[in-house]
Amino acid sequence: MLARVQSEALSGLDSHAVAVEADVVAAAPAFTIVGLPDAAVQESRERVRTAIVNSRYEFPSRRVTVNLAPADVRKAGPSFDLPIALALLCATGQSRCLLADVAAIGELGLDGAIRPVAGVLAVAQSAQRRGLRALLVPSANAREAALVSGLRVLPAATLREAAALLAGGGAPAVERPDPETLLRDEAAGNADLLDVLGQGRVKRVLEVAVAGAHNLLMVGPPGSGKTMLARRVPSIMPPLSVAEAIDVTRVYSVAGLLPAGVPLVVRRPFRAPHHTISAIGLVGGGATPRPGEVSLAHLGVLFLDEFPEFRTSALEGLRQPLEDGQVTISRALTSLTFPARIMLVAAMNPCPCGFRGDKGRECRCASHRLAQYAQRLSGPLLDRIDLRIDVPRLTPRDRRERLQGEPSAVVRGRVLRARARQRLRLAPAGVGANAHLSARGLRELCVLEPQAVAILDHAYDKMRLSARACDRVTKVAQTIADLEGSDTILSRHVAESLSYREPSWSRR
Amino acid sequence: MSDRAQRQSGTAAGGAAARAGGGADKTRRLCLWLAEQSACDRGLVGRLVKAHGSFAEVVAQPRSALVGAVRVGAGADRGAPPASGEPADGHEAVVAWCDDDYPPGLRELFDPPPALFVRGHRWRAMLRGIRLRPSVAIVGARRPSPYGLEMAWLLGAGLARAGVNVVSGMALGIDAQAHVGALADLGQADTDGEARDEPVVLAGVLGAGVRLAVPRTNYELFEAIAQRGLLLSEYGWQLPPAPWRFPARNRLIAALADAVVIVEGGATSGALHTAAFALDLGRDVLAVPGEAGRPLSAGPHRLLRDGAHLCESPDDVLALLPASAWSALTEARAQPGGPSRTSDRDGGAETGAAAHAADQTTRGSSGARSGPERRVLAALQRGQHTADQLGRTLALAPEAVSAALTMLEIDGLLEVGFGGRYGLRRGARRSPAP
Repeated sequence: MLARVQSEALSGLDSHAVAVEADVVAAAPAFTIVGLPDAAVQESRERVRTAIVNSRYEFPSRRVTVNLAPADVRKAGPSFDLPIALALLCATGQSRCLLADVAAIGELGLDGAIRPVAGVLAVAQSAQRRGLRALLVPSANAREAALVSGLRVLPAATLREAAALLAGGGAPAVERPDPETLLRDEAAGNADLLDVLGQGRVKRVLEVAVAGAHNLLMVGPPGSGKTMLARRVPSIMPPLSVAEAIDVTRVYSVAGLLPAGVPLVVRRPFRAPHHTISAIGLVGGGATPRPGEVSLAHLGVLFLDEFPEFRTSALEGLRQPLEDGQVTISRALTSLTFPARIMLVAAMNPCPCGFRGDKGRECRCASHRLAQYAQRLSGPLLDRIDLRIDVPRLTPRDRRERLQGEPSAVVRGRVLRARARQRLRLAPAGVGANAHLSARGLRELCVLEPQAVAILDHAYDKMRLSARACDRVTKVAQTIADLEGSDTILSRHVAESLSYREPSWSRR
Repeated sequence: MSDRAQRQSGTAAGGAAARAGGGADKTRRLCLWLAEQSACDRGLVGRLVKAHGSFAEVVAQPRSALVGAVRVGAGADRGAPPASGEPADGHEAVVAWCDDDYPPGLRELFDPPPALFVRGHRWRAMLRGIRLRPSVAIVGARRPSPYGLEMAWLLGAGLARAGVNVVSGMALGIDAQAHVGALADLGQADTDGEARDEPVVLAGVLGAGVRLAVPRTNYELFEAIAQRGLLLSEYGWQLPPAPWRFPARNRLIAALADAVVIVEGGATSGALHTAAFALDLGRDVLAVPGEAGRPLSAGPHRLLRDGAHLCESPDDVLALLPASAWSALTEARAQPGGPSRTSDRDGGAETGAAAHAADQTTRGSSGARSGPERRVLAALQRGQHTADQLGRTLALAPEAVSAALTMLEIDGLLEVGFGGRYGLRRGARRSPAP
């Protein structure tokens, strides 16, 4: 007898329909799964068999064939356990599938319990798009699936519960999380800029960077506070909107990084991968393509400490996502796209030993090592970093003075106003922040006062700026003008922007 | 009798001894042979002098009496190319110990170089300059701080302006910077088109052959010194460097100079060797104080503790040079036919005054300076600061400080040191208002 249960298969951040068909015939006992299953799907035979028996059902001692259609798409992961088991139960007449338009996903434990799976949000969105009425999910994933409106969520904790739901039993109510409410208390747990002593200039640069979505490079000796400052960048970024939060949650859900019981990512991501990370780990990819750190930092901050120590392949792989805001991974059969609109915050020591220019310690780096260190960062990569500054080490006096800075909330207020100005002005160019302006958009949408032009020309001459560097300086100056609420870029904006263009180590 | 007067008589004695030894030519050939041998046999000259009493006695011996002392294949220099050979063009020369051109200071060494290999477009005039003018060596750390670089530059420029020869080891860092400063100041005089018979010499003493620019990073400086000064080595034309030759070279630096200034250096710096040689030779040793507690201050501070003279400006060095140091120059000028010029020392007195005129630095393309710019400029006169320190002392917002710094940088008044510390540019402090 033949039975069919709907399910979903993830591919990248998207999901597509898979029909799970089970057929049981009187022949020598066997259990086969066809339809391009990977190792995890093949192993599901053992889990399904044991879970069925341990749920006090009978596993047929006949020939069982399970087909995952369409047959030409690779199926990966353990989320087919539940639909396979359900299809088998229906095929053997131990249960009935009375509900139409329902898809099921879930991993089975040997005891028949249903374990949470990754990517439930993406699956629910896909199910809702193709017109299914309900989605049968592990109860641990129920709140996540319930984020998608217009789809009934059927949570099940065991195989028996799932079979009952499919047979038309009453489903327990799922509390639909309200994204607005969840997002409201986002700011509560953030680290605050107030925690950082001194470094007024760097804090100002962080504000400019966030206001215009500019990437940032900080150069300073160990212990000058680069990491501490970087960790506080999300606290001055605009709060996530509902749509943004769902986008971020989708990536985390697919990567399996959504903590249990958390339906929605409410804070902007802050990812700080170690510098030994591989190119694939950073950018994404792999045999079954997974989002890399750039995608996990989507709409948040990617913090790369010890910037030049990263592998060259990893760093160069960053160029495309920094430019396009997304990562495209091409395979022979498919091509996947992961979102990657990040703010890059990079930090590095002024030299390999870290003490170049330090007053208390002597730098022990040979001059050729210094040259090598600087050369590891390619021009095209640095071109995508608008702000590059020194982070000086605090003197004992700086530390004692405990200069009271501003709390993150105040800075964020200014950032929000600057972003609002940008949205209005940049609407014709179709971008949301100054950093994403094209060279042409820059010429058409940014107005410099004559004196500011004169300073820029003068700097072009005296500081030997490249044309590209001039564009970067103008973009940053535009952000500074936006922060001040000025319609034109004044000379002081250009002058301030120029001082953030290059840290001291690369100026000579 | 002053040191220098003593040295002058030493010259005469050396020349006389050589001539008495049976033909200047023979002595000269012996010196060249010794030079070639000693380039690869460390300590050869020292052993010979010990055996015979003095270098004058050594060169009075027949070669056959000396050959036995040569250690064949001594040191790690087996197969090194021959040290001597013919000078390549008019820009190179060999000066033997017995020649009149030989720098008199070197004769005071226990083991003087038997011959010097020199390179310089005007080497004859330069050797004359070395004999006539007082010389000061400026040595120090290879990886100095911005402060050390600035002091080396100021000392090099100030001393050259005052008419003093600047000697150094052509190493990276302080050595090179002293010459860069001196070149900056002499560059002007050269374009005057005034041919000088007694030029102020920028002398670079090398630890390898004079045709080799070691370290290569200094190549441009080597060329500039060859053009405007003199490169000297006791190691032939293109003998590659070896670790022991650099400390050995330091004794020549000390001997050439009337005073040695140490700018920055760690507790084990090679500059301390130079200072030790200078003390042995009775030269004055000066040290530029650094910031307390910094590793680079350890060398100069130890010297100061041991009684070295304090050096804060070129004037401190000039004040230490005895009047007799200038006597050779005065005498040369007094001779009939000698060029009569006003003393170059007048320029030296101006150096200090010019430095004080710094506060009036008001040039700039953008016309009038804004209030913050003027205040930042004034604060920087007192030393290097980070942007945050400036903001705090001047009660300015970070953005205002940043903007002011940029404007000053565009106008060429500022320099950014490592670690984001801003300071006034070398020269900006001295440059007179237009």
